[in-house]
Amino acid sequence: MGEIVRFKRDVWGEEVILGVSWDLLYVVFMAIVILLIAHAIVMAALAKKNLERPTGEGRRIVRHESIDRWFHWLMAASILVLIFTGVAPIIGLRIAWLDIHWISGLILTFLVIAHIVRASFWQDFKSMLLMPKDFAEPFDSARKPGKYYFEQKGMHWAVTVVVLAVIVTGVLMFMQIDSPFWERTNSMPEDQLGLVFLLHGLSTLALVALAATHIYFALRPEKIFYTRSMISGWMSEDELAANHDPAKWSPKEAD
Amino acid sequence: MVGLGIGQGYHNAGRSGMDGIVMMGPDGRLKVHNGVGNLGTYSYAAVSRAAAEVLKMPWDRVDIITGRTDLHLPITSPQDGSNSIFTNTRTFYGAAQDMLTKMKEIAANDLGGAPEDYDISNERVHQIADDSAGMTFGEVAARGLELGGKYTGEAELPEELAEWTQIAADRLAGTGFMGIFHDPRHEGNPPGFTVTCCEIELDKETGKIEIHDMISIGEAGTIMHPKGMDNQLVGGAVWGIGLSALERHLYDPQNGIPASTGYWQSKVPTYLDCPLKIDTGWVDLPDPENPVGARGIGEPSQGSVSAALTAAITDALDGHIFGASPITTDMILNHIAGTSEESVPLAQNNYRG
Amino acid sequence: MVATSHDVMPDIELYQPADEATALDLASRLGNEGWLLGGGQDTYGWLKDRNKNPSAMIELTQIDAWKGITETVDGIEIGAVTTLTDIARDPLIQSRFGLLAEAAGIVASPQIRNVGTLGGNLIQDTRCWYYRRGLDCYRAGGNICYADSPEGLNREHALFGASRCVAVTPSDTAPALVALDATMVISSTSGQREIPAQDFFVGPDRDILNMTVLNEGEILTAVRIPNTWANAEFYFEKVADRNVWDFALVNVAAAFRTSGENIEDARIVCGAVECVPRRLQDVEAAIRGRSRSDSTANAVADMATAGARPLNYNNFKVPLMQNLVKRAIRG
Ligand SMILES: Cc1cc2nc3c(=O)[nH]c(=O)nc-3n(C[C@H](O)[C@H](O)[C@H](O)COP(=O)(O)OP(=O)(O)OC[C@H]3O[C@@H](n4cnc5c(N)ncnc54)[C@H](O)[C@@H]3O)c2cc1C
Ligand code: SF4
Repeated sequence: MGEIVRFKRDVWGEEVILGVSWDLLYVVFMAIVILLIAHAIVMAALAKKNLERPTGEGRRIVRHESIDRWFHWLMAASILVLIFTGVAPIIGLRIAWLDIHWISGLILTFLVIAHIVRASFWQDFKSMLLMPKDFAEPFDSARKPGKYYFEQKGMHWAVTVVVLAVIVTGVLMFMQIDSPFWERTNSMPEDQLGLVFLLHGLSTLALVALAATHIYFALRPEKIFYTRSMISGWMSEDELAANHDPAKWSPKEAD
Repeated sequence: MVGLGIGQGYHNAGRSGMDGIVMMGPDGRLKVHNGVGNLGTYSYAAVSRAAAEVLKMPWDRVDIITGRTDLHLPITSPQDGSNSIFTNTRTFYGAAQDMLTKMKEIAANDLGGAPEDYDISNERVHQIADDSAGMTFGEVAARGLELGGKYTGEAELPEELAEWTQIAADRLAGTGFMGIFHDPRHEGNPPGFTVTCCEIELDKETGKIEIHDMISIGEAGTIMHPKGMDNQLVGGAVWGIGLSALERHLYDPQNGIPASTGYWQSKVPTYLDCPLKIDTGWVDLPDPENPVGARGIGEPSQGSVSAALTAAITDALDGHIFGASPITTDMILNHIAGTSEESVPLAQNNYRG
Repeated sequence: MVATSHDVMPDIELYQPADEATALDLASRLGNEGWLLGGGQDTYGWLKDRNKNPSAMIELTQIDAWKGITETVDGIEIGAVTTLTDIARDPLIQSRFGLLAEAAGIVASPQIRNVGTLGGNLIQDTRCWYYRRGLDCYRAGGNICYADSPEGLNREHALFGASRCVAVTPSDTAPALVALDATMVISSTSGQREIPAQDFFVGPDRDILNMTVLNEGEILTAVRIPNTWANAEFYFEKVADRNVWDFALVNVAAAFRTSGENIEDARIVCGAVECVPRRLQDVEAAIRGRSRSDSTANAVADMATAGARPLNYNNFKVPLMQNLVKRAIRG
């Protein structure tokens, strides 16, 4: 597997960083697959003990407004496209990936900005905040969360950090190529450029891992109603009662 | 489009102040100790002929001692600036004159009379009045070796010899009959002149030029070697064509790395970039500052061709002057297309007016 | 272990297979480590400059099966190891596909054509001087292009199809073969595949490291030219700085079928304006049914370069390409 960072010679023959070693892509991919399979096996072994799942029948409450669902799925789509187009040349697929990649990147950037603005002013920003007391939640089955439980908040903030890193480095990289908006300038020193590539690569690896994990949990039977709520917007009162503390989160009823 | 151009080339074509050494042993062969380099023009041989001519020696009795400094060579000017023929005919002419004087002195000494009573012919020194009274060059050289002193370079060397020549002379001293000379400075600047006329066809669609006709005439004093002269004029023309139309020395402006590495990127003209035939001619008027009347021509020929070709391109483009050279295909096309120079910087050219 | 000394030849294991099977075996076994060697006219430059250091070479020139020109039922087949001189002088090619004879006959210099092979000429690497200098640009696996920058010397570079890399195809025979609708025969131990010439070359958008679709272990063994364009009206012209021993600034290869005055069909391809030979299908369509005349040529000149994105120093390629296309159409 060798190194983590690849080096190259700059125009003067000095050694500079080129980027992340893409061997790591296979490492990360394999590691995450193994972890998730392990998790699935453990869960399957424990499955009998907590069989009583809340039902989706009955009255419904609103979990995600339609605009937020759109945000989510558009972001998800752009991230998946970005991962696919970014990884394609690395694994040797000969497709014209770059334009799709930066266009999706721009879309993601605008979505993220819009989401930040909306979350800061129109949504209940606090519902996503990870507070010190939240860290007790996973160990205490009596403590029920508000709108988002601990792992969801953790996932959200991990994705936030990684996506912001990918976006910032991606925009810097985008500025290094010709685009319909500008001609490239070649102004970034090669050692800095290498650092940007490295960070973009590392955050890509993290994003691949997070995306796989996120998709896995979204598909798990005990969590699938969350995924349904991300599609259709609602969850049942039963599901609410089983998983959330109405004192901390009191959603309105769905029509 | 047809374009006509006339160009004039000038280069100072001669130096002075160097030294010459010729030697002779009892075998009577003339040894010209010659430090002139050889860039392929063989002018080291041409300049040695000045010594042979002074001593009226057949060329196959002359040895040119050259190529290594440990062969004891006098100082010579580097083979550049079109100077060799002028500079070094002066020194070898002088060294041979010194040997001739010494020959006459030895003959007068041994056979009676004054040195002025003697002349040379057929590798002999003999009395003018009676050419049977004389000695062969071999005999004179042997006699010189016996006498030693100034005849073998052991005494009375010219005062202003360069340090380098001094070393060579010291090492040669006593080994043979020696003629040695320090060339005093000459007056003024010996010019080499050429004039070139050419006719080109410029293809406005491809920006390519084709040279239909080219003639270069040189003014380089007495022509020592007509074939060599022709070669200089033609070779200079190829050079001039490169200068005006092709050859580049590029550097990447952002990083300063050289781009013109190798002959492909430097664009030295090839056979097919030059006219099939380049006509040449010369004036052949002796130069008063040179004992054999000769002057150099290497660089002037390049200048006149370059000027003529540039002028012809300008003529074909209705008088447009680029103020830069070489004038390459892209510049011609950009000019015709009206692409402004701001969007097409000429930084990739060697010379910018 | 790669010798990096500048004083001696790098350490290279040289294989000289005499038959196809051995060559294909070697190619598959050595993969990217085994540099295929035709006439070496592209290769030796890399080696001399110490900018590529293959550890093994598979010389193809002893395999007779991949040499020579043969007539087939529906055209001709040229072995990939046939020299450019042989192609330029071949009576069959001269009489039927003069376009290729002309293109092969104007490559580089007589010396290079005497040893350079068709395969090598088609597969040769780009001539971007930054890349050839051994800089770690995109094409060399790096993360930067030195040519496409405000100050980069990119006079020889691309007008079209750039994607980070702006290098162009250097080959003179490639546009001719695309114009003649040739097919590339590619062999490996796992069999043979045929690719239209047009799809054989890849641009940097799809693969920034390679100029053709050849995969590891594959060898171009032959080029087939169908009779579709045999004895058509051809036009080839190349403009380079020098008239010999130089790469095209732009070249054009075109084939026309006319009936009476009018163009029935045409294929027009330009080289050195993109990373792949650029076929001008819009122009081909626009001139169908018109005569080979000044007015037709002038009418489509702009179309020939539509979408061109000149860099700093290669603006001249726009008029040059237009003019060459016009000349081809005028005939
Ligand atoms: C100064 C100069 C000027 C030139 N000018 C021109 C020009 O004007 N026009 C032009 O078109 N070319 C030009 N060339 C390029 C020259 O024509 C080519 O380099 C030559 O034709 C390559 O053929 P080769 O057989 O010698 O290639 P090689 O060097 O042997 O091979 C070239 C590449 O092709 C690969 N290869 C060769 N054969 C096969 C095969 N059968 N299957 C798979 N891969 C293969 C090799 O691995 C290598 O990567 C010039 C070259 C030089 C040095
Ligand atoms: S044009 Fe292509 S080959 Fe040339 S420096 Fe840029 S990336 Fe490298």
